[in-house]
Amino acid sequence: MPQENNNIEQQIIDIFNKNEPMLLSSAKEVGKIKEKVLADFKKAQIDIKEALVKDETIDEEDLEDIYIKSLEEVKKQIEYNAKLEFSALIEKYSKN
Amino acid sequence: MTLGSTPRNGHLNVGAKLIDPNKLLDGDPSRGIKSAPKVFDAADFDDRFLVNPPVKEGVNVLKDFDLLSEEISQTFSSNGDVSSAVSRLDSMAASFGDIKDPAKKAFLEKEYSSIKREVNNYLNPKNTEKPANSGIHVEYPQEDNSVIIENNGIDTEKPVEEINSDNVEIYTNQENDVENNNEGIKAEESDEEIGEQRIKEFNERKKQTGFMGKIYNTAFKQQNAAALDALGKTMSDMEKFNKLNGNNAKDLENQNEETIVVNSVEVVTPTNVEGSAVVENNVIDSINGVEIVTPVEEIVTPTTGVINQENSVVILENTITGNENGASVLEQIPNLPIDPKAIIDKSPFGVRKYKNGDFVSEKPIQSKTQENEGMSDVDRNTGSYISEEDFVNDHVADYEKPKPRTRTRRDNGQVFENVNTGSRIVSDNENVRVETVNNRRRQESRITEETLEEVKDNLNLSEEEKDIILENLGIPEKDRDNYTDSIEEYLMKMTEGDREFALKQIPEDRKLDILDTLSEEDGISLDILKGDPKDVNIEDVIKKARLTSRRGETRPKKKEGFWGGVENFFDKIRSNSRESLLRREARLESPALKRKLEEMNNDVESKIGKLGNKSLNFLWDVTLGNTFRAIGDGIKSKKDWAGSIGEAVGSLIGRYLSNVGDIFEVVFGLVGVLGKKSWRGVRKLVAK
Repeated sequence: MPQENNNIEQQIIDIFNKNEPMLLSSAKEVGKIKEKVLADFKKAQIDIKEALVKDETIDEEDLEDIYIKSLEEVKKQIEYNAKLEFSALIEKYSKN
Repeated sequence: MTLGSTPRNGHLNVGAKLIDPNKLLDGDPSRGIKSAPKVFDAADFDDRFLVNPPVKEGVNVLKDFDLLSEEISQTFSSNGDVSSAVSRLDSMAASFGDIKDPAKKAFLEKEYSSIKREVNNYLNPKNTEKPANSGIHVEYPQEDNSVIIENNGIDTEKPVEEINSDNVEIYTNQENDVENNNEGIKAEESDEEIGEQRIKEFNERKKQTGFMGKIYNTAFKQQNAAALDALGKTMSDMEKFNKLNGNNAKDLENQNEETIVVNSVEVVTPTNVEGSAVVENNVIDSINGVEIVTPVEEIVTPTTGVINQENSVVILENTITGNENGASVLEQIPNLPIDPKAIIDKSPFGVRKYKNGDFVSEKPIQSKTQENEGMSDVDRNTGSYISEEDFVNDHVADYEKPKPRTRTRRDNGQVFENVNTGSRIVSDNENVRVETVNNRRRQESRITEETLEEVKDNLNLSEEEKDIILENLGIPEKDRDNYTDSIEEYLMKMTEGDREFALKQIPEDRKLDILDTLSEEDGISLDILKGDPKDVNIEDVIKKARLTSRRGETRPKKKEGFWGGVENFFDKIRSNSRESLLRREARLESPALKRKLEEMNNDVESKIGKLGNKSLNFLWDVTLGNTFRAIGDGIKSKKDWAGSIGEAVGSLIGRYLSNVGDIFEVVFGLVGVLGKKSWRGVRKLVAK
């Protein structure tokens, strides 16, 4: 029995040892993707705002509507891109 | 039309329903009921409204109203867009009809009207910048307890104490005056006192309450805990709000935002309060805080005579609610041609002309006789009607004398300066005029064609300088070529502004660029570049640079011309471009929009978080899940499988704890994240 236990223990340790780097790495990558997406979205907010402020061909009255609509579009695009990145991540680690 | 002869709107008599709020606070509402009618001031009414149990149904409305008021106020202070808040305000006002309590309804309508007026002033700043000969304007009482009357561009400052019926006679119904043999024009002595008292009250109230802070401030002033509680506010909130409002009010006064056109009267529809014996069927015009009550039967229904439709010229006769905004006149009259080229509004106050919807001019009706002697627009010596210009001079002459209560400084025998207010009385051989600080500032900053020509002639901006300026104006590099060749013309199109503000807009690092440019072109000693750029007075440097011509010629010091031009140059930079940019930026930073962005950020974060977790779960499923499954398959036949697993995991954790301390945290976190999936997987597999 002790021998069997040692075997099981060893198996678990082996599994952890084998998968731990990948799990940590994938978790880190997921975190990075999350941060990047949020940062991209916030940067888009700033960029779009600056562009709208400077583009005086757009009436002041229309600024808010255009801003929101633009951000909605960006949001959709960013979320779509994030899905692609997560899919690529899964594909990458699944192969391992 | 008699000044203040009947109680003003806001004095509400609710008869037997009148309740003393102080007694209500004692905890026995029934003791507050009085049988005798009594007139309460609106300020008292506000608090009674808030704490009166029978009208509790209005508390929520008030709260919403209150929040909207605050939002609009804050939007004003940030120069933002109030359209959303105003739209909600209008919607809320539309529901006032459902409120059963007439007193409450009247109160809310009055508040709504007040807020709308402030909003209109904010949204239509052009009202404060009337062209010459645009008529008479009166500014709200100033901080020094005086009132500025602007008559055709000339400011006249009057202490509040001196404002009485003599001052308001210029607003009166001249046509009716003739018919009524002058009755109703000159206020009685008692009415004068009432008028003065009301202006004092108004002034005091404005100081106390600040900008649209009536609800808060009254509650705060009364220290009425119940009212505060009803509003969901604390005393600290009140203090902050009052401080904020005080600042707003001051800023607005400084900017002359609250200029009111005298003939622009607010007509309050008759208020019939149940049980009221005081508020009669009158129309109450509010002029500069003084309300003039006119019985309804004296009001002539607006009639129209649309003539000459081909040229789209509309003549309105006997309109009662003159407004400087042509559109509002149009709203009164249905079926007018769309966008008439001109409107001539012949109201009892005079004839006003509007062109393309904009107020153009105003002339008193030419119907004066000797009977009108003593009126402002009749020569006091001859009794005959005088020109508008003479009328203005005649009127201004009323205020030529230095105020006895103020200290004056005499300069060269020609200028008297009121050192308290900064106002000056300037006389030359022919004219005597009164200059207030604001008026003087406007005059000084007014850009004439000659000045603009001087700017063009003297600026001689280098291409580099133009580039730097355009860059600091926020104009993208690709567009700058469009301006470089005509920057003077570009600047000429800008409005007036503040030079210091413009200079502050130049980033510190750009100052060095400017200095570099100037030093290269104007030979300024590089010594000036030593030290912290922040300490460099860019204005002095530019001044020095300008005094030394690029061609080595020394330019004369033309303070009025050249430097006036330079000042105008910077003024223009700020006002037309910076102001526009700041205004646009403020629109995109409104509280409502910030909330919307926050929601979007949260939504993105939530969705991405879910996607991330889903991905990790999947990865763990295909890795640890499979491996645990394999282990499970291996151990499920063992009797002591639980002990085996326990020992294995314990040993595993022990190893991590003892040997991989720094990894433990990660692994522990990982296990935590693995959470349900892996552990559930283990249990599931083991249970097979």
